[in-house]
Amino acid sequence: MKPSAKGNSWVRKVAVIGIVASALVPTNNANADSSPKAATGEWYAYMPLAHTWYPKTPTNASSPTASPSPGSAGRLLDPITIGACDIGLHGTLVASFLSKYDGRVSLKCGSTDVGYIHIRTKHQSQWDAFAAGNGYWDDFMLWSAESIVLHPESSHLDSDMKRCYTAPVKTYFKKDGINHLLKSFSPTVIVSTNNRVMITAYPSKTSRCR
Amino acid sequence: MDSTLTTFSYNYSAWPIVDIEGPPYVEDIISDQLEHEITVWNEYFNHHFTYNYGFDDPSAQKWVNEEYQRLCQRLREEGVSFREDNWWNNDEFEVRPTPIDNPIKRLAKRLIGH
Repeated sequence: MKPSAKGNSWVRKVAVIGIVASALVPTNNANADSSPKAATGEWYAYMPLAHTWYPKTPTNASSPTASPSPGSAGRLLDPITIGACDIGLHGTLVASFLSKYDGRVSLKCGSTDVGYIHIRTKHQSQWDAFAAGNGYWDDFMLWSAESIVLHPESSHLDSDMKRCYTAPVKTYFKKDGINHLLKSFSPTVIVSTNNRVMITAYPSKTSRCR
Repeated sequence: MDSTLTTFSYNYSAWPIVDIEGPPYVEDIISDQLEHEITVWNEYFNHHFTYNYGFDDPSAQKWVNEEYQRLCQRLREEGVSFREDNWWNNDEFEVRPTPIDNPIKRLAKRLIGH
């Protein structure tokens, strides 16, 4: 039943055409087009265990709970890569990043069952709910996932070679120099340990590893 | 936040419900018996399904689906508001599951700031 490798030659042949064509199709997906909110303050997310910020280190950065660390800001996904996912090149590498226990982990376009397409199809609205329109949901998701797998609060290896990583993430709104906590949650990231691919990542209020 | 973003679906983890809000969380609301039955369903799923091969046996998929529908009904009976998603039954590869992201527009936004 599984969609096997469908990177058929005809798909590959139309890849470039598809990417160009997709640029000409006006999107009607409000989520995909979410723009940074016009606000007088500054929204950001902070991963305490990794000391990383998203989308960038806030001005006069001071950790909401501790002294500031230079940290690192989230990176941005390549639009062309996402275009490749859109046209069905499911083996395309979307991103790769280091994990604490599984070495370098890859996020591929995947399918409805796994990878970027799975996350977009099944969990985009949930990521959007936490990103609250600040940048793209998938940039936020990637920042969260790569921070968590490298600096997990806990992890659990299942018998079927899946490892579950989780760690807390907090979002703030900084106004007049004061950090206001908006949301606190614990995304779950599932990694296949035998071939080192990221299966899924979703936000949840509480940890869902065992 | 929209509580309808809470989903009951297999998600490869130890608990098949994604809580977007809370506390209270779904497991705090439902009976211990229903929580146990959902956990059993999830463990069975974890045991019989892999992301790259799917179900190891058609009968496993049949049981998962029947039990899923029953658990959905039980959750509703216990007052849980959630979204169903039985994505594992979709045999067709979805090339474009959402409207196509516009790479040029996306790139332009990146250039003018996040």
